[in-house]
Parts: sequence; C-alpha cells; structure tokens
Amino acid sequence: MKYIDYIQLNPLQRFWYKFKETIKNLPNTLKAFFCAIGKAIKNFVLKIALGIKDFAVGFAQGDIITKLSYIIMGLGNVTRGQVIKGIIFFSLEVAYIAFMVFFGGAYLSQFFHLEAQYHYETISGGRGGTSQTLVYDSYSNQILLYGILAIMATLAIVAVYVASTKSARKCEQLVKAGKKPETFISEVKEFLDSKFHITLLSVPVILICVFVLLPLIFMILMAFTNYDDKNYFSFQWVGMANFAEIFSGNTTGASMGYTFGNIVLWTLIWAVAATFSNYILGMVVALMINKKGIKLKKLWRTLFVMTIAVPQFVTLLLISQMIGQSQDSPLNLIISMFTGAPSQFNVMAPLYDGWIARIAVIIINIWIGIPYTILMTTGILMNIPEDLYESARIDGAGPVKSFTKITLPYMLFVTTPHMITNFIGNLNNFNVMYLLTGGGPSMGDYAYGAGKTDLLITLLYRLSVDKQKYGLGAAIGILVFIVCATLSLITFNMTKSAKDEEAFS
Amino acid sequence: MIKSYKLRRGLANTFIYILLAVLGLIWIFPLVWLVLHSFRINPAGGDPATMVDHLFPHLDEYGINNYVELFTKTDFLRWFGNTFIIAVVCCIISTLSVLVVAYAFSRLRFKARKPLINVGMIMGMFPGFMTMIALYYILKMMGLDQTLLGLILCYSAGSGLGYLVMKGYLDTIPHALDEAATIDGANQFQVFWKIILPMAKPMVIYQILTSFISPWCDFILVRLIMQDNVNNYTVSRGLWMWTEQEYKAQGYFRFFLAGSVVVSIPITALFLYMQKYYVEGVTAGGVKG
Amino acid sequence: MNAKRILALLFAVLMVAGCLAACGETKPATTDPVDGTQAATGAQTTFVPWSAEDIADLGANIQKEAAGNKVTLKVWQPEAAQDVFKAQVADFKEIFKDYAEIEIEVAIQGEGDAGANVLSDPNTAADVFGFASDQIMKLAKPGALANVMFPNEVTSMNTPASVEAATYEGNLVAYPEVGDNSYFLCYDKRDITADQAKSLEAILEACKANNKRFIMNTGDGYFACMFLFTGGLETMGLEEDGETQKFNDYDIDQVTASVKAFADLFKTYKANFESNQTSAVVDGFKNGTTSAGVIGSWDVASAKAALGENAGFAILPTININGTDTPIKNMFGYKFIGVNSQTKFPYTAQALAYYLSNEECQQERAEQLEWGPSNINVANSDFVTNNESMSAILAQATNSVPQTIIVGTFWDPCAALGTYITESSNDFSEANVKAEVEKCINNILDL
Repeated sequence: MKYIDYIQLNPLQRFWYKFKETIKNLPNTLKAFFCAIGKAIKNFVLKIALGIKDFAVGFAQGDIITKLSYIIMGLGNVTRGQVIKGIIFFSLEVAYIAFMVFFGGAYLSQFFHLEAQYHYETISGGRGGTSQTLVYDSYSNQILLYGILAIMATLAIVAVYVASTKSARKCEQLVKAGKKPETFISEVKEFLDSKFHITLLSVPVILICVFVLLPLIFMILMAFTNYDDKNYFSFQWVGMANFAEIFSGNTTGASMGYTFGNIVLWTLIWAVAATFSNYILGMVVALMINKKGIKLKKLWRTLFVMTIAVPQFVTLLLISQMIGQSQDSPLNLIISMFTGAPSQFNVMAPLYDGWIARIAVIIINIWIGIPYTILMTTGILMNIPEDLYESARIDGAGPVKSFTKITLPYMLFVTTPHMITNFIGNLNNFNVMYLLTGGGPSMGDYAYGAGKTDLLITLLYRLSVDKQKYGLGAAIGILVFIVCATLSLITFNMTKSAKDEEAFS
Repeated sequence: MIKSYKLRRGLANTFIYILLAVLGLIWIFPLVWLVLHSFRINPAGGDPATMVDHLFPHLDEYGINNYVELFTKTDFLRWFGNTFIIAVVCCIISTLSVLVVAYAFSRLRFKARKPLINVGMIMGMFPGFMTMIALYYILKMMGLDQTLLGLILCYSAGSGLGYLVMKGYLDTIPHALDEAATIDGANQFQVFWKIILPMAKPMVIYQILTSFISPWCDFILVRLIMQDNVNNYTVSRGLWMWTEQEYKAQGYFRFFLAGSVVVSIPITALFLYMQKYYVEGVTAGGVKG
Repeated sequence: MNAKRILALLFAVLMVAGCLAACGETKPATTDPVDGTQAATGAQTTFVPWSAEDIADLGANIQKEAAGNKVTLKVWQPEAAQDVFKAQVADFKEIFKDYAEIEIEVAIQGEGDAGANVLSDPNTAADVFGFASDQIMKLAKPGALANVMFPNEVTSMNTPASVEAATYEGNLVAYPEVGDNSYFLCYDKRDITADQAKSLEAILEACKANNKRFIMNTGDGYFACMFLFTGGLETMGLEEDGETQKFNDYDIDQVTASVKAFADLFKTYKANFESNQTSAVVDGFKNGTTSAGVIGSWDVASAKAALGENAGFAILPTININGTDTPIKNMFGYKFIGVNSQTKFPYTAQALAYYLSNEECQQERAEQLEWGPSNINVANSDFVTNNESMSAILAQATNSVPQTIIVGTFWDPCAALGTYITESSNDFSEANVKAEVEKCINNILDL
C-alpha cells in the first residue's frame, strides 16, 4: 500500500492495517531482533579480542614500571604524577583480593555443585544426656548468590584492570612525549561535562545491578536447580528438568502441563476481557459525564475517581470480604433484599469450570478499572472535533452509531499504545486475582492446588512462596518473561513512537 | 422539530442522570460500607463480630471504640510512621534516579546509551515477583533484612528502570533551549538543573506522587522482607495481617476496617489534589499517535 | 447551580434511604454480654521443673555457652498466646538469672506456617518455635530440628501418642506442647440438646427448626479430610520411596458412600448449612445466627466468650451412611515446640523448650488458653477432666486418624473435594462422587 492510500484510510482502518502489517512482519521482526542480538554479541567478542591485543601490545611495549603496573594496579599512575587515581586503582585491587580470599572465593569454588556444607555438633550435660544436631556451614542458596556476586565482582575488576593498564600506558606515553598527565582535579571536572553521563548514571546503575540484575540472575539460574520444599538447604543443578515438568502431562493426576496450558489460556482471555471491558465501558461513562448539558461533572468524576485514590489493596481486600459465600456477606444481603429470601450465592462455587468466579473477577475489575479510563480519556475525548458528531447527527446517526463510528476509532487510534501497556499490565495483574479470589476456585484438576482464576503471575507466586517450589516458580517466571517480552516487542514495532526512537535498531 | 429534539435531549439527559446516579451508588457503596462498619461496635460489650446479618450497622451499634483502640491497643500508629518514613525517602530516591536516568538517555549522547536503553527495557519485562526471594537474601547479606532501610532500597533501587515515561516527556522539550544555554557557557550540570528540571515539573510531580503512594500499597514484598518483625511492618502489611484467619478469630477485623479508613484519608486527599498531574503523567506515558 | 443542589440533595436522600432500608429489618442482637477477658494471671509463683542440682548443672552450661555475653533467643508463638508465653519466658529467665543475662523475644507466628518460615531462613527464624505436627517430616528431614536433649523425661511425662508423633527416624525431635490440635463440635445449648448433638442429621434438623446455621470449613483440606476418613481411609505415613503418602487398605466404595452421605445431607439442608472459616462459627454465635459448628481447639476460648454458659462441646457427631450411624472420624494432631538446629545458643534453647513444655506451663496454658495438654499429669488433672471442651476433644482422639506424617500434596485435593461436595447444584450420583473421590486420591498420590 502506498502512503497516499494509507492516509486516505479512516483511523480504524489505519489501525487495522498497521496491526495486520505487524503480524505479517512478525517473523521478520523477530529475525531482525535476534540478528541484532547476534550482531551485538559478535561486536562484543570482536571488541574483547581487540582489547586483548591492545593489552598484550601495551605490555610488550611498556617500560618496567608499566609492566609492573600490570601486576600492581595504579603503580604507573602514582609514579607519574596521578597519585590519587593510582591509589584508587590500587585500593580496588586490594579490596577485590581481600573479598575473594576471605569471602567470595570459597563460594565460587562450590558454585558448580551447590551442595550445602554441614557438620554435626553434640551438646551434653544436665540430666538430659546428649543431643546431636546437624549444623549448616553454608546453604545452597547462599552459595548460588555469593557465587554470582563473586563472578560479578570479577567481571567488574577485570574492567577496572583493563582501564588501569590503559591508563598506565597513557601516562608513560605522555611522560615520554614530555607532557604532564592530567591532574586529578581536571579529570573530576570532566565528570560534570563531557563525562556527565557517568556521573548521572553510576549510582542508579550500581543500585540496579545490586537490586535488580543480581537477583534476576539468581532467579534465572534457580530455574535450573531443584530448589524446592524437599531440598531446602541443599540443592543441585538439574538442567532443564523444571521446564520439562511444565510441559509434561501424565494421565492420572493433575499434571503440570495441563495446568500450565489452561492457565495460559485463561490469562490471555482475562487480559483481553479486562482490557477491553474497562476501556469501552470506561469511555461510555466518560462520555456520559462529559455530555453537553450534564451538570455536576466534577462531582460525578470525583465519585468514580475516589475509588482509585483509596489504596488498591484496601478496596480489593474489602471486596473479597464482601463477596464471601456466607449469608451475612454484603453481596448476599443485597441479593436477599431484592429476593426477600436468604441468599447463598457463592462467587467461588466450583461450577461450570469456575466461570462464575472468572466472570465475577472481570466484573469487579470493571469496578476497579473504569475510573482509570475516565481519568485518562476525558481530556482526549474533549479533543474530538464537535462538528464530526454534528454532521453524523445530521446524517441521522444515533448515539450508538456515532460512538462506534467516530469515538471508538478515534480513541483506538490515539490510545493504542496505552491499551497495549494496559494489556501487558493485565497479564500480570497480581493484586486483583490474589486478593479477590486467591486463584480459586480450585477444582482438583490443576496441579499444586492452582485454581480456575489463577493467572501465570499468581501461579508463579503460589509455586515460589506458598508451595516453596522455587525452581519451578523461577522457570515459570522465565516463561512469563518470554510472553511479555514478545508482546512488548510487537507493541514497540507497532507504535511510531518507538520507531522514532529506534529502540531496537 | 426543534421542540422534539429538545425533548429528546431532555429525556436522554434524565436517563443519563439516573444511570450516573445508579453507577455512582455502586462505585461508592463499598467505601460507604467500609466507613460505616468501621464505626460498628458491639452494643452488648465485647468485640463486634466480623460480619453481621444486616447491611449497615443498626443505630445503637455506632461508636468510636474501634478507632480509639486502633491507636491505643495496636501497632497501627507505629506502622503508619514507618510507612510515612519509607514513602518520603523512597519518593526522593526514586524521583532523583528516574530523573537522572531519563535525562541522561534523553539529552546526552554517549557510546553505551543504546545498549543501556535496550538492557533496561529487557530487565523491566521480567516479572518483579521473580526477584523478591533473592532480594531477601541480598538484604540479609548486607545485614539489612527486616529493616526499614532494606525495604526502602528494595522499593527505590530499581526505580531507575522506570525512566521510559520521563524520557518521553524530556524528549519533547526542544533541544534548542539547552543548546542556547551551552553557548552561553553553561555546563551539562547547569543545563540539567536550571533548564530541564523546571520544564519537567508536571512529570516530576507525577513521579513524586506515584513513588510516594506505592509503599502504602505494597503488601507482598514487605511481607517477605520483614518476616516476623512486626515493629517494622508498613500499614498495608499490618492491615493485611489482620484479615488473616488467626487475627479475624481474635476480632481484629474491626481494626482492619478502621485502619483502612485512616490510611485512605490522606492518600485519597493527596490523590484528588494532585489528580491533574496524575492524568498528565499517565497520558504522557502512553498516548501517542 | 440550582440543579446541582437538587441533585446533591437527591443523592443524599438516596444514600440515607439505602441505610434506613437496611436498618429497617432490625433484629435484636441475641448475644449475651460476656466478659471476654481471661482470668488474670495473678500472683503466681515461679515453677521450677528442676532440682537445685540440675539448675546448677544446666546453669553452668548456659554460662559456658554465653561466654560472658548476652544470650538472645527468639520464640515463635501465635498471637492469641503471646501474653501467656511472655509470662512463662520471664519465669524461665528468673531461674537462670544468676548464670547468664538472657534476653528472650516472643514474636508472633502462627503454628501453621512456622515450619515453612524456619526452612526458608533458619538463621533469622526463631530459636524455639511452636508448630503443628504435620510439619515434622518437612522439618526433620533436612535437619532443621535439633534432637531433644531430655528424651527420657519428655517420653515419660507425655502421652505415648504425642511422643510417637514427635519422633522421626528413631529420634525425638520436638517437645510435645499441645495434645489436642484438632477440631470438634461446638453448639449453642439453647438450640440443640446434648442428645441432638450426637448426630449430624439431628443437628441440621434443629438448625432448620430454629432457622439458624450449621457452619464448618469444607474448603480446607484439614477439615475436608474427615469426609474420606469417615469412610475408612487412613493415612499411614510414607511409602518406601519416602515421598508418597501411604494409605491403609481402604474400600473405595465405602469411602464414596461416606462422601456421598455428607454431600446429600448438606444438599438437603443447604439453607441451613454454610462452609466458612472457624472464626465465622464464633461470629455466628455472637450474632445469634448459628446454632452449631465445627471449631478448632484453638477457637474454644473465643467460642466460650461468645456463648458463655450456653456453650456446648462434643465429639464430632455421627452421620448416617447407608442406614448405619457412623461416627465422623477426623484428623487429630499435636503441637510441638521445636528447637532450631541452627540456633546460636543450643543449650539455653533446649532448656527453654523443655521448660515451656513441662507440666506446669501446660497446666497454665490449659487454664488460660484452653490448650489441651500432652502431659499425662495435666491430662488427668481435675481441671482438664472437668472441662467440657477439653474432655470432649480428648475423647475425639479415640476416633481419629493421627496427623503424623502427611505429605504436602495431601491438603489441596482434599480441599477441592470438600468444595465439590458442598456445592449443592452438583449432581451427586454414585458415579460422579466416586470419580471425584478417585481424582482426589490420585492427586494426593501423584505429585
């Protein structure tokens, strides 16, 4: 399709066209994505090879002090006037060695078998006689974590080491050329200008490395161990066994494969239903509030927005209490007010494959989500040119028709990225499911007591916190990541904003 | 013709009023229920039951007992203080790191920029839940498990990854502004502090708002980090605990109701007051052509 | 402006009308004013379970362990028992105050999750913790429990069943603390006679006559397993692989008949039957909407507070299965005090655990918390034998399956079965029920 054709389409058609193209291009996009990753890796390897060459050449050509500073970091800097810089290099080296000797090294050496270390201790005395106890010196999860930490520290020190050798070499060359190496002050000043990004990013990056990257690596590796409620203190590497279990199906009992497949299906249904119901109904309410001639707009809006302002866990816990199956639950009291007889309606009834609970959570999610849509869309709705509606009305279109023909396409066009973020948010909507139904009703056909409203994310929580199947939980987490990452990738390719920024080039 | 049109519009508006009133009632009902029942006492003495067989308390069942005991007999006030401290510190750290990262990615050009943006995006796609268990062990390694500082770090350390919305906003501020300043002799730091920051005020307020509110709402992470250290709980963890079966049996549900009201008041007020910025932040993040 | 005001007014009227409509159907609260507070601890004398010689001996070891520093220990006990344990712990400190400075923190931790929390991080977990007997295997297998230091005394003082439940692979690994961690029947004597309380059919009929409810928690495997057990199924520890639950030689048709009997009965009386947590039973007594329910031994104190002298306690009633009145069989467990094997002060921890599980402390807890004793002397004491609730639950022990070694996969399938049979719109044909029972047992065995 040529550009001239494209701009003649209405917004909905444009959206549909974009969507089709994206799906059509998906294989190419994925291919390009993996090629990009491959290229990045190739570049990285090349760079390292170059670095090693530089490193060797530097060593061969340098004088004795430079050669020595390949062993004692910072020596070259200190002897050539960059005292503070040299001391920093040297103290980093000392710190690393101390870390490995006293702490990291021991864990790193156990990293490959992971087994916990223990000994027996006996206490005796009093009337009681003796008691023998197993005392652990190290636990497998400690070994795993500290091992990763040691590896990360090693990588960091290698980077510093390379920088220090380069710096030593540079100093030597400068001195040979009869110039003075830069002073510490002037180098620091650079960090406010040409190296300002380092100043800005160093703290956040370090924090992210420790509190996001390190735990992430830990959990990814955990997916390849048998860390679970049978191997609390001591576990081993088991390769792909956890992934094999997720995709396995045995015939008699509730199998993980069956559970996983069904939960993925429900997660998708839920995400679609929750996103669209909130979106469309929220827009309808927003339109009603903003309709010409409707007074008290602010009051109506506040009424709805109040429910967002109250912390979500409060409202969710409250509602979960209110829909309890007891005759005294507010829901049943209201029903009995209308019917006149005591009501025993049970949202969590194990009927119809759990669809009562499933529909209930979608409805309750409308209660939660509509205010957000109202907040977000009010401004945009005002921007739709009034004469569009006017001409539609002259053509005899009713409110429903003008909504489906004008409002919806316009809004879809403008807010697609937001909807897709919402969609991914709903895929991982832990709070709503966990607090409202806890994943239930459990009908006995899912493994690990999972229930009909369990999403992937609540399954992940159930496995890794409630059932202590840490390894299996981590494997599910990786799969959730793959699903979300693929969806995000599609999103970013669909929306122009991402293309402008060349996020994945 | 015109008359009937007016009539029709009047009818339509009446219909909409009725619909809005009904919907408004549905939306506000749980909150009204919460407030009314938080005042419910047992007129006969003793703890009131968790649930009663009437929708709203009878007239003789109202009293402020629950609130009085909430502040005198439980740890609620302490948890409230904890949460407040955490929220304030988190909001400072998070806002600063988001700003700094977004600024660097939006304004500065350096070799590692694109790889860092990509890595950040990929890391953000992992479910946060996965890392929770590991976070506990990391804090333990630092001796920060079961402490407020540890929780603050968990909440705010990764916040730099949330740079996307802010970066999008900063991208819209014209580069000509900072170029002019650079020509006038300002260094990068001054450009950031004197030009970009004031321009990004609505987004900064949005960031402050969200990062201030989030510690009030988290209950999962705090459960894992604080374990049994009840003194360092946050309000949400404490309130959640009171809905557990063991506590319900001890009549703590009334404290859950009263405590929820007390927590909701400041948060709701803050939110309604700052609504404008919230809308701006959300729409800036997601809405693009 | 005017319209705004009118609307606001209209809204206010609507809200008020809603409130009033709800208030209209006022029913006087029937709860009797009962003083919920426990008998004050009063001036009690510190009890010492050891002779002066023993104390000197133990004290010397504690002193050695402390090595001049402060001994710090943490105790985990549930919320309801905090005050009692704080007092008992203070007494323990008093005994050894001459030997070392001991600081003991009593923290809140329910017995149900204590085991899992010890296992997830033994170093920050409590040194001495109360836990339910089903966690023994999970804790003892990786060595999270220290072996008991006073095995002979503990064995001679406590009931053989509780000692057996606290034994893992020949070692005594925990101190019996409570001898009746189970559930039984509690009823309002004004609605149900002691005679009616003997059969489930009569109880439900009485509830129907009074227009009140019978509540039990069928959605929890701990309670729902009674449907299987009444039909003759029993757990027998583990199979040889050390992981799979072993059952007795049960008759699947009989188990099905039992489950079907419950299902049909609940269906017949569905307007008067409710599945809810045990706290809802107590609430129902408070509100006057409930005549009877199955409550846990840990709920006795609050049930007594709600019903006062009208509180009736009995063993679980009988149910008519194919014409025979069969007593309902439940799961009967214990609570233990365990010593964390990773504790820094094993000696003091062992002494404390021993102290907390001794006769006098159990007596105190029986009197103040209604916790049934595992100690033989306390079980035979006048207080316990004259106590209706405790004697009822100890009687229940004679018709129950001991909760010794239960695999982790046991609970969820039972809970699912329980939820299935209480959903009255299900078709409880023989074949359907049998399929559910088989599914449940397979799920327990398979994973």
